[in-house]
Amino acid sequence: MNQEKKRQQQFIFATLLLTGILFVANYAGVVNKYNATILSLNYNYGFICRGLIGTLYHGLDVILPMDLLNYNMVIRFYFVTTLLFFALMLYFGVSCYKDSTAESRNRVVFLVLLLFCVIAPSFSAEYNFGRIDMFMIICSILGVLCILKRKLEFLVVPLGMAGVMFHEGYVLMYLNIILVLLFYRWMSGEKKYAFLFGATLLGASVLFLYFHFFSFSEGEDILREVTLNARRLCDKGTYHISLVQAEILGVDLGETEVIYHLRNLIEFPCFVIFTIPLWFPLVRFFIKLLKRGRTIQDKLKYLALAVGSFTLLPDFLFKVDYGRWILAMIVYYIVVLLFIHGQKDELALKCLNEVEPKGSYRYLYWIFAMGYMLCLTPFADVSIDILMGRTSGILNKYIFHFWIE
Amino acid sequence: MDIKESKKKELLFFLCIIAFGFLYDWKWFGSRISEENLAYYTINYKAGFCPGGFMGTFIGALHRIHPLGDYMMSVYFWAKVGLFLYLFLGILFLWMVYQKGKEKGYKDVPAAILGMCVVLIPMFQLESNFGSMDMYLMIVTLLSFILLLWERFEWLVPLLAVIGVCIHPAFIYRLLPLLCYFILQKKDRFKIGVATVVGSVAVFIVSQIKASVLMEHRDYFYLFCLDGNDQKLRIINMVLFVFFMLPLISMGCSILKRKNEKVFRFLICASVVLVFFDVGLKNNPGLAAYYLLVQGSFLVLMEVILTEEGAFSFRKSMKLHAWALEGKQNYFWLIYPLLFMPFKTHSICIFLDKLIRLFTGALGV
Repeated sequence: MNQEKKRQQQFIFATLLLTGILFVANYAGVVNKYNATILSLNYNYGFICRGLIGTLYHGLDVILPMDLLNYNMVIRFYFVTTLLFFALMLYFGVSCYKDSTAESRNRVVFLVLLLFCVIAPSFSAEYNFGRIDMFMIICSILGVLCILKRKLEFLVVPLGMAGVMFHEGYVLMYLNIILVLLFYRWMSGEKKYAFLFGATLLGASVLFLYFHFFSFSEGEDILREVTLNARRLCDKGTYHISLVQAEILGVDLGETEVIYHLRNLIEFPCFVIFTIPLWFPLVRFFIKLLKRGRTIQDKLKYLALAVGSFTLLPDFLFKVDYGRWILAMIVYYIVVLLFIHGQKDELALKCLNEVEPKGSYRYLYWIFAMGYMLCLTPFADVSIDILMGRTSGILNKYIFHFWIE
Repeated sequence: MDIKESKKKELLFFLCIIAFGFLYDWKWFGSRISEENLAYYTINYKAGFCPGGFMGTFIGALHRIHPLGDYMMSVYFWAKVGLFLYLFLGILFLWMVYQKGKEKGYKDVPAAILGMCVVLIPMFQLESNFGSMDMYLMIVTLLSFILLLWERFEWLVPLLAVIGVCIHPAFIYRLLPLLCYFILQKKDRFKIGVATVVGSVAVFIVSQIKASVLMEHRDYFYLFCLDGNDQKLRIINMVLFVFFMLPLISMGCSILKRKNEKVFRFLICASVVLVFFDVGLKNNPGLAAYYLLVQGSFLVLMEVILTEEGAFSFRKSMKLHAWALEGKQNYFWLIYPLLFMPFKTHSICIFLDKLIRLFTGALGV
């Protein structure tokens, strides 16, 4: 028993060490204007899109005996929330570790480390520090924890809705995690999850449609106030004009994004090629799992796990922030794999064992995966990461000539 | 079937190493040579046999034979070739080590190779290190190691060591002890060992004497020569680095303490101390960190492939120091140095820079 506790402590120590180093190495101590501007949107101006985080922030400003409406406090706010986010992810990892079988615990350790190799640099680096995606992941992970622990499961419905209130893109980016796991439980024969699945989907969809079509009605009236607020929260008063235009006035910025689509067109295939060692075993695992499923329900639930991230397809087709979509995909698959371990799904664990390299290579593969991730991270947004940015730059310069640097 | 499967695994393992090398190279490649490194290419033997003049002379000759625009462009091109050669030789060396370990049936060789690969690959791509003389020193050393592993043309090793000293006199304490350690692992290579040491020391002395006559030059043995805040910062950098590397140091020590070779141990310790003080505190803590890791991982790798005792203690150490679960070995500490890499020059790495800034800011220093 003592031995087990010691191992668990060592695992937590290793994760904290990794996260600490990656956080400090990537942390720039600045919040970019997009992430600061978003705090100026709040429900004082009506039930507007992406207003939840701003509302929470302004609520804190009222509660706490200090003035939060300045740039320095924005940095501190995001610093604390980022640390809380990491703590929650660690708690999730440790929960999966505790719930997993003794034979699969090594893999859980590596999966958690891999998850931190992705999220720690991405959410500490200048570009995504304080990004709203972090709050969306928090909603999903809290939902997953409710499902995993079988406690307060009804909370997945408000959590799903809260995610959409943080950012309407949540429906495509991170809601899939909750929905897929609810569907998994439903197909495993637990009927109450069908209701939760339906309620979560409905709640999130209604909010999404509302934000998409009706939340700009009073845009012109509140614009002045929002921009004043944004100036107070941003560094040197320079706020993100496009964000305010898009979210308050509903201006379509699609035309300005053509060049970004071209960049994506080069970067994405390169990224797929570069990451073959990472996704190839995953594809093999899901194919094996689908073949082995005995009943229709089994096949359906495993199919849902495999293709759950495909909800991102509209984002990939019509939007340009490929770095964020890819981050969402990676987080999806790692969380799903961790859930499988926490769930002790025998068939899935057996297939994972078969797909993994054997002997000492098994661990070396995970080390490679971590090394790979460290090369690829931190993820940005339009440009997937530094590596892909450089690749697309060179390919454009010598082959495609889509844009002039 | 088993042999086929094992070959496939081997191939995949090395493909992964190559992919990792490519990815890292691509990400961090600086695409220009810093002025500090460029200065070395302007020193040559026209004025006499001065220290560090080899690469300037060699690339100058190549430039005359096959000019690629102006001299700077030639230097850039050959530095790129050098970087490629360094990575190629590094991977070839690891491949040979792997084959050697496989012959002896040691199961832990891939893990030790991975540890070495993490240290070797991400270094000379960064702008501050690209084209530095240390890259060529490593090329010379790797070439020597390959010949010694191959057990052919071993007589070339003393020549390569001499070239190493000609490239940069600091070769004598940065890498020569390690080379000697490797040479003298076999008793029949004693003559080669003696030739290597005598040749290198002779060239070193000659170049130093010539240098004192020809020009003002940096005194390579003049320790603690800098003062002020830079010096303090370097000390803090090195101390913090050692602190963060304690898990690896303790692993390395537990692997190496079984060896009963006092002379070599003394040599390696002397080398580590000199690198720590001279390179680390005087001018280049990032490079010192690199050399310390290279020396440590080379020694461990050699231990693992050369003796069964070494392989055993490696396995035991991995179990003791990594968070081993269910009696199996985990290799977290092997990838640990990667969190700090790539190393820079005037400070060790971005992480330590920020950490120091954080503390100095918090303490108001």
